Amino acid sequence: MAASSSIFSSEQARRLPWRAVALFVAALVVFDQGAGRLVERLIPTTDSNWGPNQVARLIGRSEPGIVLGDSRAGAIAPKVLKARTGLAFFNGTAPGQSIHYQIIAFEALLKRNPNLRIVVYELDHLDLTAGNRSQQQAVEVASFLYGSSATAREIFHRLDPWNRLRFLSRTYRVNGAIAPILVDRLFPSQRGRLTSEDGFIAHDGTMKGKPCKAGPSVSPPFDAFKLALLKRFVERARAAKVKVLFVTAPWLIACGVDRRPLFARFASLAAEWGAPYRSFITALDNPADFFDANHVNRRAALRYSEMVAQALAETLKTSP
Amino acid sequence: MLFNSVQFLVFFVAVLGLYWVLKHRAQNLLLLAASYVFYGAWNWKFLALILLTTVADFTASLVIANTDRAMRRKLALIAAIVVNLGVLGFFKYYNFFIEDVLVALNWLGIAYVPLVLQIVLPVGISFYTFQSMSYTIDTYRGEVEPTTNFPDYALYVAFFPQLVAGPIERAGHLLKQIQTPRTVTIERINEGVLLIALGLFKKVAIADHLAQYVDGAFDRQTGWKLLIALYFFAFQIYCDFSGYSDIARGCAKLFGIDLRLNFNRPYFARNLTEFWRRWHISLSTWFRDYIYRPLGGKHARGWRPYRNLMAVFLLSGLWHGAAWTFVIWGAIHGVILSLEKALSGWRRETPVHPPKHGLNPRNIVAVFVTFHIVCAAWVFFRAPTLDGALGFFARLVQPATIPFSGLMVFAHAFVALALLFAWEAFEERWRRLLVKPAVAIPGYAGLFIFTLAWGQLNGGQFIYFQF
Repeated sequence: MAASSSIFSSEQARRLPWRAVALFVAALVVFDQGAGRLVERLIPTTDSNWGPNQVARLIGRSEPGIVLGDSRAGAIAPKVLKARTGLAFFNGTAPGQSIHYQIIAFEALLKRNPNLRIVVYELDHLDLTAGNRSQQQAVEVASFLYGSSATAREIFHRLDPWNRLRFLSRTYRVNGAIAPILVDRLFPSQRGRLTSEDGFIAHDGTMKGKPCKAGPSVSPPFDAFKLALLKRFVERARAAKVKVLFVTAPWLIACGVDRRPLFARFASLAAEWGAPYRSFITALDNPADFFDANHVNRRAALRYSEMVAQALAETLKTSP
Repeated sequence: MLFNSVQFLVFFVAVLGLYWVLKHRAQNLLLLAASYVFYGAWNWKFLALILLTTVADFTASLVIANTDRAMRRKLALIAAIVVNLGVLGFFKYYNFFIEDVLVALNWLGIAYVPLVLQIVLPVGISFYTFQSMSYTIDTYRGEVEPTTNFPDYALYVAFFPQLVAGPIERAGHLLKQIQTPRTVTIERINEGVLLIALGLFKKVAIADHLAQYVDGAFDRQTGWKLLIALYFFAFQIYCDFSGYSDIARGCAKLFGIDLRLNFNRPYFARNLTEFWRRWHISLSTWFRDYIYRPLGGKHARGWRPYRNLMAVFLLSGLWHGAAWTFVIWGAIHGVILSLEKALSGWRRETPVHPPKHGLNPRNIVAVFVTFHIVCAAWVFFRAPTLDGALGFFARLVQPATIPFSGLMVFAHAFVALALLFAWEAFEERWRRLLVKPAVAIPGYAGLFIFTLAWGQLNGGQFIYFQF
């Protein structure tokens, strides 16, 4: 190795190797922008269960009916909704997500889907209350839309002011996307891709015979920012002449926390906004109908879907 | 403030930019202030502890250096050690011993309810306490000339790149560099950026992905799926800890300061002796110099060399955490190392030369066996309780019937591990290539961007912070 060449020292006039530093920074920027753009383009062409691919798949749909919501929304069967309303539906369920994610996806959908007529929004406590850090981070699966969505930027900046700096990096916005893209292309027969064509997801299994106990009745305060986003969701839909039906999925209250007071408070707000809301939280109470304490199983999914379809038919008939 | 956070990036760039426009004395004051800000960002109240340790060792060393009276020198040394171990013992071991006292008293039929306190463990306390204590001991031994400049000494204890997870430095190495004007060379910048890029890659692109599988599988899976979790944990803890050390060394190099090598491809070790020369080198040499050799080392009479080894590894276990699982982890290493030493003719007058390095069947088998011994001991290190560790081994022999999810975790983990292997197996060749700026500049930029794209960016803090 060559002898060390002193560039600058504590006691001498200092001179940074500016040329090398500039080249290094330039290489970082070029690689960052190049890799970020390339991956952004590949995300919509990838079929996997990984979050960003779900967003990309959702916003590329052209059905007039869309189901949005977290994991509990997965049990709403599009074919049941179609049988009752005559409209084709796609279920865009996204496990663990809240209004932070839904409004970004919905706005992107409004831009791309001129056929859209109605959205069923499966509303959870995650949509109304603050949630923990991991729930807040869940929305990062939609971060590749940061550059094209003012709402996305607003949400990310609100969740953490340091995001203004992080999201300068285009690669940061597509973090974690390369592996699903590679897996999808190299191992096309592997499991791990989207499970059904219309987005319907339900699990087998039952809570029957499993030990459980009822939790307390809770009604934590609303998160003001999330509430404002929900209201904006309704306004955006109204402006685009798209109807919105809020529903809450059945919960096995005998085996968990009772959130009825929270949803009752939301019902008043929805009425104020003129948005139809139907809570099915107590519609099923047989443990045999549940996969776990707060997800209906495959057996009950069709019955739950029938209830939603009924509410949907009424909404299509009556709401403005 | 974690190394893998944007907050640290801003902090580091600001400190570095300011640092190189200042003169030597001002540089030291800046680094000291930055170190206290860095540590205070976790919990500013614990700054008082660092100050207490710093003042105690600084004062004791001056007393030791300025008196010829043996008793006074000894008293100063003992006082400093009492302060250091007192702070460490209270914050790290109080409840551990209190709970064991409770068990012992209950066993004797005495119903005693001791005072169990809600003590928060100050981050990095074991690291800076050992570093500060070594200064006083070295001064007592006459191996170090104590400084009269308090800010210099305070910086030696609190230098932020290595403050919370090492490498544990010695005054003869770090303090000496703090006291003299620093020079930065193009080679040092090159090495610094390489170490930072490599460290971030290890932490974010490997350790945090492996953690996702390990956390879900360690207490739940069975059979070969559990075995994979154990292998993954071995690499998780290596990449997490050595990644931190690499970033620490890289940051320090950009300040013109060299920190000690802490890891040297430990899973290529062919026996436990070699493993401990490659793993957490700064801690194992600390125990060697301040515990093992003062006890007589391998030249003590009779069975005492084995006692000395066991003492070192039991203390090393306890250093890692106040739990019996860590003590057992240390004991496993101590016992097997003792056996290995005894079988290899350790105490013969003529030294036995280890076999040559290289890719041959003997070395491959030796590396394989050593790795599995280390992995078996990691079970006790990772398990929260002794029952948990024993249950792990019981589940290991059961059929792997529980389905696992997360193909992406595997894809991320295997590719990143393959890249790590490609680096470590051919490190010298890579380094020769990276001397050329035309390779180094795009190479480092590519590694940073790859880490950003591939890494688990919300992976959390480094494992060794808790020690």
